[in-house]
Parts: sequence; structure tokens; C-alpha cells
Amino acid sequence: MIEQGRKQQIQHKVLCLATCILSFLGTGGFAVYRGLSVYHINEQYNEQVARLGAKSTSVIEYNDSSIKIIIEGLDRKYYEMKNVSFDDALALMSNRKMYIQESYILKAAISGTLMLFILVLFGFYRLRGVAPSVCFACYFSEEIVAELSALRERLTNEQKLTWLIRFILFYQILTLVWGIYIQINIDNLTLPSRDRRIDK
Amino acid sequence: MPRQKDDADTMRLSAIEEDILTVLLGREFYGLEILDFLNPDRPIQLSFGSLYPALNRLEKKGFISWRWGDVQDGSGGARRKYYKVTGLGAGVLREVQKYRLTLGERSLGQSMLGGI
Repeated sequence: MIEQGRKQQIQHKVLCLATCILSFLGTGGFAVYRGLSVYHINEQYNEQVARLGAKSTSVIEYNDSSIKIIIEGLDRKYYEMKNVSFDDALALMSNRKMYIQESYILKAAISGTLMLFILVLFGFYRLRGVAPSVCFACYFSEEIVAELSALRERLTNEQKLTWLIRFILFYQILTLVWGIYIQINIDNLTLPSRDRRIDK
Repeated sequence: MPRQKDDADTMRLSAIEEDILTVLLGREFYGLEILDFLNPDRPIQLSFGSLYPALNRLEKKGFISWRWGDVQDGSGGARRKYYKVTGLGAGVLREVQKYRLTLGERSLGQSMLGGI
């Protein structure tokens, strides 16, 4: 019994440490990446300005027509005001393309970190012998706990594979984290403030 | 005037909100049941993450109401919420459907006239 308790304590410590390291790597990696990319973009931007100053006609090649359209739309006002040629304006704003690419990479990095964090945290709870419904209750409201438990029970009754059940639940939890903590709060900014709870 | 604008904003229905109101019309369902009705034959499957923000919007606009259900086995004492359409919600849905019907008839009439 004592040995089992020690084992659990070690598991607890290892998982806490792993969670800390993962979140540190995630946020630290994000910060380093962000810093490097901004530095890179600034360098590119300065280079373009210098090139324009020297009245150079060479411009960066834009093979991607959709990016060209976005840049054209965004910067139409700018090059109209400055009275510069379209090619020069494109060259000056070449960093836009990098911003768009960067935003996709950042989204992927943040989602990846969040997924890892949730996985480790739920793994930790499960190893400690905590019931799944209690795990859900740590993050979501009562009705969502009931829905997730019902979904889990249904999948178990359908005799789905364990990894498939875990995957489906994990996907639902991920979308719920986004929906409950971010989307609903943003929606509430523009929605009427009246509270229509009928059984309050 | 701003009041009218607010009302118009409130009366707007997105596609998913319209689907939910249609499913809930005259019945009372909890979240998983709503998904069971919505997801078959749907090109992009809905998840809880898209259902709950839509339910929140509908509730804030006053189109749906809810009540707590009984405690279910295996849910650790958690209760489900059962949602139903309010009179206002049913009215708005009827208006939207009427508008679509009128639009379809008008379009059909135009195409028939064009054919002549």
C-alpha cells in the first residue's frame, strides 16, 4: 500500500514536471519564434525601402495570384496617395505575404501547444484514478459534463475502439474549449444582455 | 431609431441557428440529441464546440429557453439542459421561412417570364 502511494507520488511529480516543461516549451517557443519572425520581416522591409529609395525597378516575384490580390486590396490607398507604380508598391509591401504565412504557423503552434497541454493534464487525472466526468467538471459547466459523459457512454456501448473514443472526446473537448472560453465571450459583446433563465 | 436597429440585429438568424430552431420546433431536446438530428447528411459535421455558442446566441436573443433535466447515470451527478423554442423564436423562424418561400416563388416567376 505504501509502495503504491509512493509510486503515485512519483507519477504525480513526473506529470507535473512534464506539464510545466511542455507549457514552458510552448510559450517559450512561441515567443522566440515571434521575435525571430518580426526581426526577419523588419529586415526585409528595410531592404525594400532602401531598394525603392535607390529607384530600383526590380521587384519580388509574386507567383501566388491570391496573395497579389490581397496586397492589392490592402494597399491600394497607400500607393494611390504616394503616387508610386504598382510594382514598387508591391515590393514595399512584400512583408504582407510573410505576415499571412506567419499567422497560419502561429495558429498551428498555439493549437499544438494547447492540445499537448490538455493531453498531459487529462493523462495526469486519469493516472490518479479520477473519473472522466470529474475531469470534465474541472473545465466545463454541468450540462456539458452531462453531454460529454452521455457521448462517452454511447460510444462505449457501441463498442468502439478505446483510442477512437479518446480521439472523439479529445476533439470535442478541443472545440468546446474554443467555443466556451473564446467564441461565446466574443459573441456576448454584441448580444442583448438580458438573461432569460426560466428556472433561476 | 437605434432601438429598431438593435431589434433588426437580434432578429438575424444564421444558418446553424435556423437549423437548431427547426429541430427544436415543438420538441424539447438536449445537446447530443440536437446534434443527432442535425448531423446526418450534413457536409460538415457539427460538434459541441459549434453547437453551444449557437445555443448561447439563441438564448440571449430570446428564441429558445431551457430547463434542467434529471441526473443521469454515469455522469457524476451532472444534469442535462433541455432546450425548447419560445414563441418569439417560432415567430422569427416562420418569418424567415416565409421570406425564403417568397424568394423562391419570385425567382421561379422571373425565370418563367424570362423563358417566354
